[in-house]
Amino acid sequence: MKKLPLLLLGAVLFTASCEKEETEPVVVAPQQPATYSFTNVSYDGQTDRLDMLAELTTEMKKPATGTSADAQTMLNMFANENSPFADGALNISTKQLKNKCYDGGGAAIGTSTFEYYINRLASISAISTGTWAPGTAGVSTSGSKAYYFDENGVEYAQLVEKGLMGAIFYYQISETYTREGKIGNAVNNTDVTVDKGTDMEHHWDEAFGYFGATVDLTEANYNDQSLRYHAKYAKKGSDAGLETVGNVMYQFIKGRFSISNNDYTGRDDAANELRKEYEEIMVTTAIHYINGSIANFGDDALRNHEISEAYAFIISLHYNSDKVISDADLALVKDLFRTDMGGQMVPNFLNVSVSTLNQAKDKLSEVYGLDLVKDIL
Amino acid sequence: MKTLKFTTVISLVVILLSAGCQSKEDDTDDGSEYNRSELLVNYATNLIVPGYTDLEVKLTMLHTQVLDFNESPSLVKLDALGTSLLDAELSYQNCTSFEFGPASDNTLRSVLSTYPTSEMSIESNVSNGNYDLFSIGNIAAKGFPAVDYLVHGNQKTEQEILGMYTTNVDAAQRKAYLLAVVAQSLNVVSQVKGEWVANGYQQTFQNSNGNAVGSSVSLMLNSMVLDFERFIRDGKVGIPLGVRTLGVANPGKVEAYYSKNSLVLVKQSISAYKDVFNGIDQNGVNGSGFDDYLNFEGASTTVANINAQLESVLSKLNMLSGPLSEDVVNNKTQVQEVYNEMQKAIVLLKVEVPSALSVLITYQDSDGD
Repeated sequence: MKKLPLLLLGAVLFTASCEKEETEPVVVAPQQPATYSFTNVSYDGQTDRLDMLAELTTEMKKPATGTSADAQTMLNMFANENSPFADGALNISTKQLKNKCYDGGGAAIGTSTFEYYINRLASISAISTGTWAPGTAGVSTSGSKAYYFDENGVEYAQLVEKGLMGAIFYYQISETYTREGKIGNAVNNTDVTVDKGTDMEHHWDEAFGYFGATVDLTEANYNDQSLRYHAKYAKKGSDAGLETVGNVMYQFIKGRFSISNNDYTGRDDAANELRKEYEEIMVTTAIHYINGSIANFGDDALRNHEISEAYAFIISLHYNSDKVISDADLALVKDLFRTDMGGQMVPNFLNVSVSTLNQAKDKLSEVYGLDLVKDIL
Repeated sequence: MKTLKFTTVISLVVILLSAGCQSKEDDTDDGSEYNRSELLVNYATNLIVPGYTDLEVKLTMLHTQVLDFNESPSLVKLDALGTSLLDAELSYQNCTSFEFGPASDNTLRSVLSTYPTSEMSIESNVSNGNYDLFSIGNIAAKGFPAVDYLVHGNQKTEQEILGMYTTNVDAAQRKAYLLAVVAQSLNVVSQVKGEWVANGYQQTFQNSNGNAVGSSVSLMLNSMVLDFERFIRDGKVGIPLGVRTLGVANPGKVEAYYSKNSLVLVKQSISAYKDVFNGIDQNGVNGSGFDDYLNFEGASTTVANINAQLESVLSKLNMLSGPLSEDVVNNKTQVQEVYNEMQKAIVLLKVEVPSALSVLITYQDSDGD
């Protein structure tokens, strides 16, 4: 709380002393930049994890092109063990996906569930290689696109990729980096490490690193930027006029700017708002894919793929303890896509119909106040 | 740096704004906009609504005959079912290009025409008697293809099929399933027609008379091109021929496999497509259509080429003896020629038409994953 008032005072004094004519003094306060342009920003560890998930996803999509996916390779990629990556830099990185993944302790989708999906994808893709049909795992194509589904129409590659985006990237942002332990007043914000800034600044930058954006990303230029993961999906909301990209970027920038200027009210506001804006990425993308699956309902490949995407973004809503949707409503929506298998609710899209999809869409849009845009997402 | 960017953005916006104003002025100044309202009214009033009405009539007939058949199954009534089924399928060919708005909301194509049908799903539904025909698990167990299987059977004599509805242990359940499938098709068609006629979609369609994304012209053109590319070229011909399976034919994947009516259906779909393109209604009256719109925009060569190309597809189809399931195996070269002619039509429809009319083809999923 010291730097800012001092600066302001300095500016006022300076201006006042220089003015000879009777013009009003001009107060020069530091201005929040329009892009994520700050000094000492680094998030290499996050970039490593983004790259690791990309390689894992490539492996998971192999069954769609007729090659089975190897369980050990995928599990190694998840935990960064035994040098599984094509990119050698990742093999020697000290980072990994698994130890940053939400562990639900059995209650909700956590590490073990993703490992289960990975194992299941490997085991079924090794034996069931024909064309997908309800009840038979296999490949489904539409035009040049090909996807691999389990017997219930579930694309594990999507559940794991988008699910881990939720259980790692979103979870780390909403439960770790925007909370007391990483940016609270007890965290060092005085000692600057070259290239990394203060601890508090660095933690905030690491949150930004999970977003998958470029530092230059704005609402105006999002179609021209090379975006990955949630940054890419934030476009769905922006395309529908919600300015999701701009809003998320604004809060990331505001948080870093506030931290660097010791404005902890601004920091806390940004942390709270960022979680809300980020949550909007999950729900708008889920509705977007529900719309797609309705439009392509007669196309096995596109429909199952899009429902898998939607479901993965829906389960991602879970990873924020301040989420807007209640646990009961979230369970209700998830259950539209699940069946009870021996006491365990597992994803199964065979009972899904257009009316089920509309139920899910209407519930989400009602809870999140998106009724006006739900049809254009 | 920041200021620079901001200025750049501002000037961009200014440029865009002025560019926008410019073109708008141009459009209104020379007063040369095609009367799209007239085109939309013709399509809605003379092709789309009558198309659904006729389909509803044909399905009502089929539904009535199923009720009659179920009451006292006979060979004569079984034959009548086959005839009514074909009538309804032929009628549907006039509607396939209109899969937007109510048809899309009700997934009409998926309900009526998902093939190959799944004998396994149908038989399992018949024997356990418990099914939701709208669910994904039953996506290939309903509509015309399911009725085709239920009425014509797979390599069975008429007498054997009749036995399935009389002496078979699941006879009652099979009758119920046949009725449920036909009733669902009829209900969905009535729903779609109702949304056009009674619930105001016709007015919405006619009022949305621009050519931007989401306008009626855009919806309809996208639906027409998608219909031709994915469902006529690929679905009816290409996939059975094996263009997606390294040339290995899939005779079981033709439309109307069990009745062997696939050839007559694809022929009807091409004639219907030509009528839709030219705005010609079921009585042969030629109203404002995409042909006139294109002529107006100076693309009369494209119009002539499309009509010639569709004729060429028809003449290639006329050289086949049918059924298509046998032609894709025994007459491969000739079926390939049909496919090639269809492919030439795609280029005209998907590239030249949208460019002449400044309408974007948006149906391709651009996600890339």
